[in-house]
Amino acid sequence: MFLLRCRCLLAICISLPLSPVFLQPFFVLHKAAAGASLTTSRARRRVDISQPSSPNTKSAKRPRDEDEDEDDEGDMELYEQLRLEAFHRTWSKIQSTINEVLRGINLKLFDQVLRWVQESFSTVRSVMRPCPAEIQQPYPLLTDVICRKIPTAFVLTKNAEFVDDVTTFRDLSDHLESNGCHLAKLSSTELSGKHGVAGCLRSLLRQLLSDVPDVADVSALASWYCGAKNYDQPIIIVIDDLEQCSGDVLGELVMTLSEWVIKIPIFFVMGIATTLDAPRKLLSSEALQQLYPCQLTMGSPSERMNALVEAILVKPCAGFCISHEVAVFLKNYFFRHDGTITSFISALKLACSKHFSVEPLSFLCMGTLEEDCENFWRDKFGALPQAMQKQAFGLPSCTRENNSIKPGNNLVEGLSALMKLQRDWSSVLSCLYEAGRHGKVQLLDVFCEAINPDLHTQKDSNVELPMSKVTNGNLPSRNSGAGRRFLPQALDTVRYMPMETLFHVLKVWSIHLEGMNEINDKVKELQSTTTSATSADCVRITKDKWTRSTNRAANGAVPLNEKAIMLLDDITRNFLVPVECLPFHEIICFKNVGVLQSALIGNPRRMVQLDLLKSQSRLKCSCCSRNGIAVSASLHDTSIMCNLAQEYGDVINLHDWYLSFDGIINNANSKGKRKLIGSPSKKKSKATPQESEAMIQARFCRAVTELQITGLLRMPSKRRPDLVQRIAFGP
Amino acid sequence: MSQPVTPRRTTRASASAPDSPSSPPKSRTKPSPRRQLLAAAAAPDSPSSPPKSRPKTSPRRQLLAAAPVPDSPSSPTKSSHKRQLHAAAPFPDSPSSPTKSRPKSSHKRPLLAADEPKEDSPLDVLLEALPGRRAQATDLLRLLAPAPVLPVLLHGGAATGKTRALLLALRHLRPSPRLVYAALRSLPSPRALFASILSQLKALSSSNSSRQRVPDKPSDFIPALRDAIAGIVSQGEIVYLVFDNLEVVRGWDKGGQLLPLLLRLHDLLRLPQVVLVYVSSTTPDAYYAMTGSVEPNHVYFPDYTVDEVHGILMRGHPNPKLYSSFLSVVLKPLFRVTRRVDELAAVLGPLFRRYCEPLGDLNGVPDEGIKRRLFEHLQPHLAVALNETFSVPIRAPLDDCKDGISGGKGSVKRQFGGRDGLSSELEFHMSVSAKYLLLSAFLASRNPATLDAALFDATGGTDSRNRKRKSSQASIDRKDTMAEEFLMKGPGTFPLERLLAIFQCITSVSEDMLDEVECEDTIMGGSGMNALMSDVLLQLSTLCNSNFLSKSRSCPLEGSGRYRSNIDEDLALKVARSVSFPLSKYMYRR
Repeated sequence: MFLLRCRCLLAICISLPLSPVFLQPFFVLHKAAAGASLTTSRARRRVDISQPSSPNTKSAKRPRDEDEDEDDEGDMELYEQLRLEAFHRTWSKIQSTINEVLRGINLKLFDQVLRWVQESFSTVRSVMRPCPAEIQQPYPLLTDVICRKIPTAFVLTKNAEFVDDVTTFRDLSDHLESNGCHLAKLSSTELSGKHGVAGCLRSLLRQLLSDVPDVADVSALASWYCGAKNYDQPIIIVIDDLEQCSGDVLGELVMTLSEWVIKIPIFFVMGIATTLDAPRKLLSSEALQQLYPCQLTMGSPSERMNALVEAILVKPCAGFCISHEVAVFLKNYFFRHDGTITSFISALKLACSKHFSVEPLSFLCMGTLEEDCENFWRDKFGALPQAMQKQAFGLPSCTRENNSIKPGNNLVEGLSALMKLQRDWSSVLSCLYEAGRHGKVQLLDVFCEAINPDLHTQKDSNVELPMSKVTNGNLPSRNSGAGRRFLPQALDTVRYMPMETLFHVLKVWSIHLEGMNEINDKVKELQSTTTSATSADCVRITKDKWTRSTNRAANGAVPLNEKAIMLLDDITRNFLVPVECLPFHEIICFKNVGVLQSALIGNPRRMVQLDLLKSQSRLKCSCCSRNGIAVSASLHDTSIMCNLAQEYGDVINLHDWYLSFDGIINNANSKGKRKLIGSPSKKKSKATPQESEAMIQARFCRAVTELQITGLLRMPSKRRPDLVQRIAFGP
Repeated sequence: MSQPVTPRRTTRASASAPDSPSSPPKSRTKPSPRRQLLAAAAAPDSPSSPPKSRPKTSPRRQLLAAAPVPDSPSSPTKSSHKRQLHAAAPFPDSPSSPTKSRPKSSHKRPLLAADEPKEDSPLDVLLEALPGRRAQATDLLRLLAPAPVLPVLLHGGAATGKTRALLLALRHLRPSPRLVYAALRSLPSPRALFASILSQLKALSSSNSSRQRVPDKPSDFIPALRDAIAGIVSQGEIVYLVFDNLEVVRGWDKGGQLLPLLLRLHDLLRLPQVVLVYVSSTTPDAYYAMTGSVEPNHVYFPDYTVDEVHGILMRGHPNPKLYSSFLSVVLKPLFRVTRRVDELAAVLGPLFRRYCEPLGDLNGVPDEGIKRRLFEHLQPHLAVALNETFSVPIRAPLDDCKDGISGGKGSVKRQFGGRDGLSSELEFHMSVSAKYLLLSAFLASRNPATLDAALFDATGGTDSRNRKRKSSQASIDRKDTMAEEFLMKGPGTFPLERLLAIFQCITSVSEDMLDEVECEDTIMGGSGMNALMSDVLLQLSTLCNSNFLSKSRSCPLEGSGRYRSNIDEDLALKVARSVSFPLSKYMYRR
């Protein structure tokens, strides 16, 4: 439970819209985790500076001279500010891109819902168009309509986890409202047995009416609906999580509203996370009969994922990117553990914030957001202190292929080259995905492969392999190692692609390859051949439809497809260079998967236990360091108890535990006494702790309770009242 | 068929209001004989009035539009005609009122016979608007007409036309009555009921609109009600107080106290100008135990017969011949499933569209050959509809059907397609660990806990089980009965620990498989188990939220709640297939 709550808190903290208010503490939180834990913010910054602030310290080298130290401290603070600013700007760019992408995906669904609303409304109105007096009369209208059904849209969210859809439904409500519908939202808490149908109605009225009458019933809604400006729009009730509602209350609400459906056009929009069985299981058949259902489907999470990856990672919108390891981790996290876009985004945000807080030069990322990035870099780099300049060239990626040109230009040029190569990389990757999507290849898979530096080096060693291997029909994966699966699959898709699709794909390629002129020329060339082929094809189609496919297979198509493959393979070889193979990539690329993992998974119970067990390493007090491993009485009681608990198995005998606790406290007391008095009288010292026995018991009880609250042990059961159970094990 | 002209009970009541409560409740008529009588009574009517032959093709709406016309003062002839009738009606009765006669149904016939020749058109319109409800409508008119002293209770199954008959009958009354209508279904609480009734009364009296407090307690309500009614009654008007869906009150909070109050209103108010009408879909027996009050007059609305339903459905149809041939094919089988007209109409709508599909011209009259072809076309869909009556007919997404009409047609096909696709694949996204957790919950709910060790042991634990089985036949039998009991009980509950243990077992088994699939997965490989375990509680809450698991009460600190898996085997198998987990290997079968 504790774990759960912490995770939720973290998720909320991260998923909140970007604002300095929320981000700042988050940033600080991270720093606190890396540095000392209980200091004020000012002191914390000092701590951060005076000690390497992160596990990723290979590049952070501390200056040795004391004079420099003071200067540097000022500088450090300045650069930390810069990095913070860079983080803010980068993330806000990414966030806005994300929002845009998601809105684009959702808009299709929203329009569908809107169309459904309009159609249903016209259907209801076509039955009858009651006048206000008729609406307000308490008894039902005597119409010819035999059934009173409420039009209901079941929106399948296609994800068992609901987090992603909260925003979707909020946007949907806004969309409908902006299109003139009256809108009310009922949450699962309102549709719970506790509030009953009266609570629902009250909530409905509160959302629609300006002044809610003392007694909430539908007739109040009816008289409101008769208002001139309200009359010509339907009322939509959005229930976003059907599964969590109480079936009885919802059923009752449906029955109530169905009595009024011709007078007041109320429609339901219900979100279903699982299958259509959910309403069947939840509602009584009587209530189900009152619904006139219609099923709408949201884009699946993997579709959204593809769109997001394309917008954020493939086309580096803000100059920030992730390494292969991180990408694989995120991918696994998404598919295996969480499966929500929200957590993917929050993980990405964590990665981003970690990157900017850990990597000293990361503020240079901001350059990509500037119009004149080279100028920006030159300025910034010129102003860098000597030590940091050195750091830049001490980056592993530079030492690997250091050409030792002048330091001033090298970084700027290096970064510009890096950006250029990144752009090429993303164009080629887009082309690959464009080809592969026809063969059901997921972008995230292609992305993970394209970003893998191992595969790239592997491929380099294979460069000498004759091209014919690719063209003669062998699967390239056999040549280039077992790790590659999706890239060859994408290539393979092109091979068997029908001409029309190929033509389309080529068109998209030429868009993707806009910046790369010579390649684009080749694509254009291919395109022109394709058009001539297709036009010939078209003629053939008109002549005889039946022999078309055989003809095409026999004649021109094969070389065309092969040509396309050769081109794609060629650009893949030359331009699909993973970012990790480029110099200076550390500045823009986040690599430390361990940090991300521990930050994401959290594991608060373990952290609590570790802190309790190794408190001396945090506190660095003099009393404990002398003792070494032995448990000192000056420790916090809970810490002592936790240490003592390590000696037991699954269960701890309370009495034994108490005795050893008592022993440690008393031991310390007697020792202290001995030191103070320095006298030999042991009996006296024995006598003094006796009087604090009650105190020790109280301390013991409190410590046990604290351990229980932190989730490290379970209180004794009725059956075995003298034993507590350990829950957390291991150091 | 000659019957004694006996005095009308209603008039007796109006004449001697005070002694009416003392008169023993004797009006529980058995509906069937009465109906027979009425049917018999109705039969001679129709030939006697030739213009009354049913205009079947005339749209019902027109009829309804016509219905209010007599009410409106714009038609003085009719209303005066009717008023005259009602004014005249009491006269023959009044002298004989002291002689109380028992059989209520007995004096119906002559009364109607006397009435009908005089005013054929308004009553005819009323009866026409209530197909198959002739008996009930005449009953109602008789019971409601000059203010009766006893309350009236209309009862009968859902969708049998109770409210409709009542409202039409009230509309038919002269002078047009003051109606206070409490739709108990759309009033969520007693307080709302009080407020609704009082506000309607206030609107009727159109007197001083001093804002009153809505009474909270029934004891406050009665005086308030009496005050409100007194204002209207003093003007010599009669108030009809209608409580529709009376059975709903029983489900209310404190409904047990309110219901007797409502039923005793007659005694409590003691105002002869107030007519109480209750409409309920439950039988009157449900209310007798609750009240010591006078028993109301009953009007029973039986379920429609096939022919009546046929008649109702046929009303106002543009192409009666075609629709009739359609109904003749479809109605009988569907009628076995449900007798409710509203449900039938809902099912028939899409079916008829499908029926008409092969026809180009919807106005044509089908001959036998075409009928047969149409039936063959319809048959597969009919089978589906028969099974689907109690579930939701799901429509196709609207994006596929931009033009509204073809949308309905495409729906069934899509539905079939969906059904086929449904069997093979999981329709929604779930993370792998959530799937494993769901599977372990399913196993924990289905398998007896004692078998866990055997199923999830490294050795499989089969040796020991085999040995036991050999030992004695009796133990096998005992086991069998135990297993049977287990199946009867449904899915069992389990503690979190057991769930986690099973989860750990099945994930450790499938870890290798996962690693094989994702060969480059070096990062997760090392800490795969840890990572899978880390947010199990999150996944658990997800599963609980989506109703796959339900959780019993628990202590927030201890987390010692018990869980139960709600999924059926189909879904579990689907989930297992999606992670290629051999679920059947782990399921305990007897």
